[in-house]
Amino acid sequence: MEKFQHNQNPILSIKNLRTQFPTRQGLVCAVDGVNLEVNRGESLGVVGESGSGKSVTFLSVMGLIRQPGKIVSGSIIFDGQEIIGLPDADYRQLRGKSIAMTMQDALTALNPALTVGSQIVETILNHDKSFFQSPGSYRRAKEQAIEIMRLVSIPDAHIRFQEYPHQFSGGMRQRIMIATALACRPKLLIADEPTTALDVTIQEQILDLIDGMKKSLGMSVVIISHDIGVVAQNCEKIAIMYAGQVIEIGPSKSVIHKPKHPYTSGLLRSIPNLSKLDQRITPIKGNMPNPINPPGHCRFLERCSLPIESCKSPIKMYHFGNSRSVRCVHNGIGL
Amino acid sequence: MTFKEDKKMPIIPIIEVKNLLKKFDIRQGISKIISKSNGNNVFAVNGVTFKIQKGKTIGLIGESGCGKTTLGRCILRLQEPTSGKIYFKGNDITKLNEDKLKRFRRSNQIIFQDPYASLNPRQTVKQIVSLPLKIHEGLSIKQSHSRVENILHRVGLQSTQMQSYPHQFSGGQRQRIGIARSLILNPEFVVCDEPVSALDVSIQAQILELLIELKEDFSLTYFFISHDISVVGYIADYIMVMYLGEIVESGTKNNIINNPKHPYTKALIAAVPRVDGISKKKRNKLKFDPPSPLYPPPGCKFQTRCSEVMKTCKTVVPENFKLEGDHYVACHLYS
Repeated sequence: MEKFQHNQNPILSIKNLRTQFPTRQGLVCAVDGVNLEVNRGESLGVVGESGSGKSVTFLSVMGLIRQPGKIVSGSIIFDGQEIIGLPDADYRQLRGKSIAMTMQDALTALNPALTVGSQIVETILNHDKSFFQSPGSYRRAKEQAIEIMRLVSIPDAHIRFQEYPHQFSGGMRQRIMIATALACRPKLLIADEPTTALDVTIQEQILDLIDGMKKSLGMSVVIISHDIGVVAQNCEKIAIMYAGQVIEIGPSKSVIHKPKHPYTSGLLRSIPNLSKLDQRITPIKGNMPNPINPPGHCRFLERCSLPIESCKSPIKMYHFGNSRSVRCVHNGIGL
Repeated sequence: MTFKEDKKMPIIPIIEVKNLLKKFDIRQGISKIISKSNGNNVFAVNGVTFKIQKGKTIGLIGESGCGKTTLGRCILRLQEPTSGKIYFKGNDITKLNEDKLKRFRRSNQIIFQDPYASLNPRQTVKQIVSLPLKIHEGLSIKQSHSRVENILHRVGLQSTQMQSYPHQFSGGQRQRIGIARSLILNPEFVVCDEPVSALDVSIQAQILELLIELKEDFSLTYFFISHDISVVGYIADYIMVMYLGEIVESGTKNNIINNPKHPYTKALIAAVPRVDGISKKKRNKLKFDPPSPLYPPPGCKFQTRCSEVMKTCKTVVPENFKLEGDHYVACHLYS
């Protein structure tokens, strides 16, 4: 939180982003007016259930939305530069070099037919101009790749450099993904569900690794997760997404201890608490609304415990001090 | 098979497992025929002994690949155990023939992990849920109509949804269909194999609460498998911790969660991200991945990752040591 003085110059600033996918059933508004900011050196956690638009938001940032999906409106400013509509060649220079993303499933994201080493080397050779066609460039890139593999604590990196993804365990594959992402020392790392397929003990190792890398490389980090616990422990700021919108944002501690949106508080009450074994969980009733032609009113209305008349009109984001914002007319009163 | 009515019924455990062992031969094709070596076995379940009393929920936790699911399936003889005995209400079911097994399965059901893979996509909900009635009671779909309607209603689905196909439902609703199918025969014992791990947090809470309600209503006994300690801590009365095919610690939920003894259990519980304890404490973190089950280390299988490893751990397999009450631990620190 000591980083808030950098507010003037965030590394990433998403404004009013709308990303839509036309389908046979209708228009899916996967991301519907998202505003997010990531400051330099800061870690932001994005929490939401499947279909809340958290991955699509950051795929939009990476310029990886495929046809017929489309960014309809909004602006994404990365390091002072508008990146929506950037020509492909320029985007390729940015992607992997300045912004890197690790994908959700490390097994499908890595190429099974190439050694892990060559996949890391590929990133380095593509982005680092100093390697361009100079003699011995592959050898030097290889050395750099082995170094980054050591950095992410892969034992016997020089041997494992030659191995294929299937020879690695889930946790090790995730490390390779992170190594590939970090190979060019990006300014921003987006980790999409970095620990979802992993066991808790391995999850802890990976989260510690990301945290350590963030500190030693001085980069900003976005962790996308469905697990509010993972994000609460590892991020300074937390954004809760629901049905394509950010519904609450603020410093992790304050959001967890005093949630202001009924969904956030419902989410926290749905998680069994190991410290209080006898405490009953209270599920949120119902399901997420259909993303096709979403309602104009509060998206959480049907599941909310505190519905009132004014919830039936579109809800704007209310801003508070302490950099907290919430998309709810109650402003946290009555929770 | 008619199970003998015994006056001492209450003290006979509903399920008793003695020294259960399941080994998988991983040799395939020609090497299976010509190779004489015995080294290529994976002991997925390695000498497991426990009892479940009627009306209790026993929770099984462990990392992926430790043999949780294999154990659950062996209890129902969905997989044939290599050796060991399983008793259902005092009757040995290990060697039942198919006919008797069918009768055993009537009162012993399973809820599967993945609600996307465990429902036939070409069958309607009505066909799926009425199938057990057809198999076990010879009822036609028409005859089973009212019972299907009842059970669907009980698990929170509408009778209007009977003609729908699985793809028309969300993950949580599909899991409800799976639960309805398991409970329509009024079983006594249900193996719940990670029933909530494929679901979002808010939906997970709904299904957990449903399972707890149904347990009361149908006076069920659960064997609850999960990799999520918070979930097991919430639903189970007793917890067993499994590591590489062996139970390393077992006891009441209070014993395990609040007073864990085995270094593995301690690390497992400490690794769970908690929303309330945002500041990370210094603690013993597990290094490395679990060893390959193909080549487990000698002595205590946990020795390669244990923070308190001693000389004896490297050679001697620890016995199950009784601490107090029902609390058992297999660790040299306590013998």
